[in-house]
Amino acid sequence: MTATGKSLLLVEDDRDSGAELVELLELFGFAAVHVLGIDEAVAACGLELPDFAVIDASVGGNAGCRLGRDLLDRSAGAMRVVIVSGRELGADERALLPSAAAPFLLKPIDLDALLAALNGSGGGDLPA
Amino acid sequence: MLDRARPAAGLPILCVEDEPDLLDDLALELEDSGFAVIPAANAVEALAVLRSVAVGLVLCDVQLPGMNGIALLRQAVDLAPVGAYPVHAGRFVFLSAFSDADLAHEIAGLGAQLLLKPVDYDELIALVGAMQGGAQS
Repeated sequence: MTATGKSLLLVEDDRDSGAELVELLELFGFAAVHVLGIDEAVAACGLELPDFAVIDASVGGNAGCRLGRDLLDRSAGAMRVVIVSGRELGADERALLPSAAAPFLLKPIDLDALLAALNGSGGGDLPA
Repeated sequence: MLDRARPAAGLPILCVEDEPDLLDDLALELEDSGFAVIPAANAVEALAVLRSVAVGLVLCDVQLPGMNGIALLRQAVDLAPVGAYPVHAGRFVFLSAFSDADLAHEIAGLGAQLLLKPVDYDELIALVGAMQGGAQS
């Protein structure tokens, strides 16, 4: 995947693991920014939406999928959103973001699967 | 370190070593053999990686500042019980400068591997290759 200069927002409330993942994503050419919560994410997207977002489903009290839905709606589907979590998603979360719109990956993430999901060539772990 | 070309076979190797020169040497040797490496200078950094990113194996110094390698293993195996790539002791290779029977017994009892320093890179690459091959199957 060629990601040089592509902006990526990582929404992850685990400060240390978010920082590590941002470092790795930068090695793949993303201009990655890490925020810890919903408010910071909304602020980061205030003027310009990123090309990609990787969102932990559990941020903001399991509000990650809602954030992903909002970002997709704002971008009219132009953004690529990937949802990640250390748990399976609930039915309400799946309904907000079916895998075709925003693939889901269980943590710990296979970096190749994440890159494929960001590239639109991977369907994530959810059934279609 | 891990780069976008991803020439590596399988998942990356998390390399945990507090001696910067040795960490660089380990990474270079592994990368020259086609493995992707994620470096970490201590157990806290390593756990942060393990909470988010799947790794094929963990190459880990026993003596680390703060939390030692054995404690890191015990915390790591408790992570991500529902994940697609759960960490288990069989994915750990420890490095130690001390040939200590009790330590070797403890590590073997956990199901991990132990290599002595100075590192025999041929032995390391052979072991990592076998373990990564097994991890992919």
